[in-house]
Amino acid sequence: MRTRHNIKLVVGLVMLLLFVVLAIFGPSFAPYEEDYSKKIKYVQTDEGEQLRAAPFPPSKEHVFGTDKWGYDILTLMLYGAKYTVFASIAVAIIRVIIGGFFGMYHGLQKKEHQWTPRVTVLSGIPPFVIIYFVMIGINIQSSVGTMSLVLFQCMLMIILGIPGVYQVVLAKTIEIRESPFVLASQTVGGNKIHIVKEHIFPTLKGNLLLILVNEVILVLNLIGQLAIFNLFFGGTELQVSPTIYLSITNEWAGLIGQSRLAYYSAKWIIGFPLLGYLLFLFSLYLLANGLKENQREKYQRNVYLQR
Amino acid sequence: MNIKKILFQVWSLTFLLILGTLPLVIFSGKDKVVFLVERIPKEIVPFLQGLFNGSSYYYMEGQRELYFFQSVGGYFLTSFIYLLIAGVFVIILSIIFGIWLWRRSEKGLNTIMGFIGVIPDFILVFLLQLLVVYIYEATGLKTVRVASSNMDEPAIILPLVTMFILPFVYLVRSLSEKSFDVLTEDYIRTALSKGFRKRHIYLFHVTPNVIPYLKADLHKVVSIMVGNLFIIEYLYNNKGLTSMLFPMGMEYQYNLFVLCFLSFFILYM
Repeated sequence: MRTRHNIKLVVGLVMLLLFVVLAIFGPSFAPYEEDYSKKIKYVQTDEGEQLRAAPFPPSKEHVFGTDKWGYDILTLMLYGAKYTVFASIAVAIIRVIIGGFFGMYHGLQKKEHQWTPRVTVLSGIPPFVIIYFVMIGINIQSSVGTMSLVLFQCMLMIILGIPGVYQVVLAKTIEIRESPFVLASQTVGGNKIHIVKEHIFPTLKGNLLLILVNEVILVLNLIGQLAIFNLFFGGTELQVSPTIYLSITNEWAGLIGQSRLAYYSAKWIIGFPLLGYLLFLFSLYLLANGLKENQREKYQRNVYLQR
Repeated sequence: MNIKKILFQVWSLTFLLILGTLPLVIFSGKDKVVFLVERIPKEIVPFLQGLFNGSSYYYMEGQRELYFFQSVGGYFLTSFIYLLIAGVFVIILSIIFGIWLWRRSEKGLNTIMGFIGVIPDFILVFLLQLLVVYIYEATGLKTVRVASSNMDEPAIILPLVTMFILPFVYLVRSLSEKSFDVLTEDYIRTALSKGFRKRHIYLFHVTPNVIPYLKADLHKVVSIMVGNLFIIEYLYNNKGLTSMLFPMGMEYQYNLFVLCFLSFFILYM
């Protein structure tokens, strides 16, 4: 049985590392240097001596094809990878650190306070809408730099995500605190710090890791939803006549969002970033599942009724 | 405690009002971000006053002035119906699948379901649209409509399917996990030793203990669905509340309000 859960965990971890490497070293692997030169038009003659215009389907020169303006998709993806990968991971980590800390802290207090999420007028609003309202004025044709936009959006995403993490960690901490082995330890006379170190924290660690991976997925979703509404991560470029929104950073959800009408004709423009996005998601999913099974193995109870 | 609750509601209302003004208040100036704090009350106060004297109920569409409640009905209904239908299917089918039919031993199906659960809604929309186009090109078979092109030809099936899948998968996983936990309880073992048949145990012991969790999770499911609603309406071009929300007028949108009420109604199902 041990080999079973190891496979998911290992594969997920390996894939994830692959993406991280891609994110860091991507630009050096890129076949073309066409990063920030969006004004170049690319017209090519093929074997039949015909003059064709972009977008070009996948070929030997452009492994993933090009988009409408002749940019090599593989290049775009490699340049944008670092935004997708690192932003999601970083935001998730900070969310978990802050939310987890407060969750643990409050969970360990003896008070019985319950932070029950109440239904308000705000309940119907998904978080990305809130970010949308804040950033709609500044993200398009922005005069502040990419980095500032990135940082600002990250900050917003962190703030909106903390309550979620907080609630989960709080509940879990309270649950652990009330479990038999902690009570036993208290009766035998262990003081609070000892209990935290030896009992609560180890149990929580596994959970926190799982929560972390889940948060990365959620952050990816958030970036993507904003991208659908043309708020691309790191800034949106607006071209008029016809009105087109482009991602400045080529972050993957942005690539998907800006080419979303391409599913009728040049499917590769949206297809490959979509594929990359899904693979990244999948690696995270495998990781999460591997971790979950790891937890299950440790704390499993017997099932009395088989199906 | 009651005062706290009231205060909380008031606070969220204020937040909502402020949030609505933000697009008019924060924008990029020459070199930096301009944050016109003073403008916030300037927008809110006329709106509140307008609530009483009736002027806030009109809004501009292009050159015309329309009466809010007149036009909101159709949009509201559209959103509501989609949510309702998808919601009903989700709940019924997830109960069937989550508690009864799902087998833990089928690792393959489990993994697939799990992965679908983490796919964001918009990706799902794209995948489905790609799929439909692909089927059409490969077989010449026109199946379902990919998007709504005008008022009379709404895309029905694809948006419903999309709205259905994500909450469904989420609920099935949640319910099956809970029922799995229930199955480890002692009273199940007792029932088994007493000789009750499997079906009986499922119906009378497992299900009643899982249903409370369903009620608690319902809240989250609804929030998922309403969140999805935004994306889905936008991508499929359905004329629901979202389309009222996003072409920003000069005043800000109390459609935010209506959307929240929408979620309330669904909650009381």
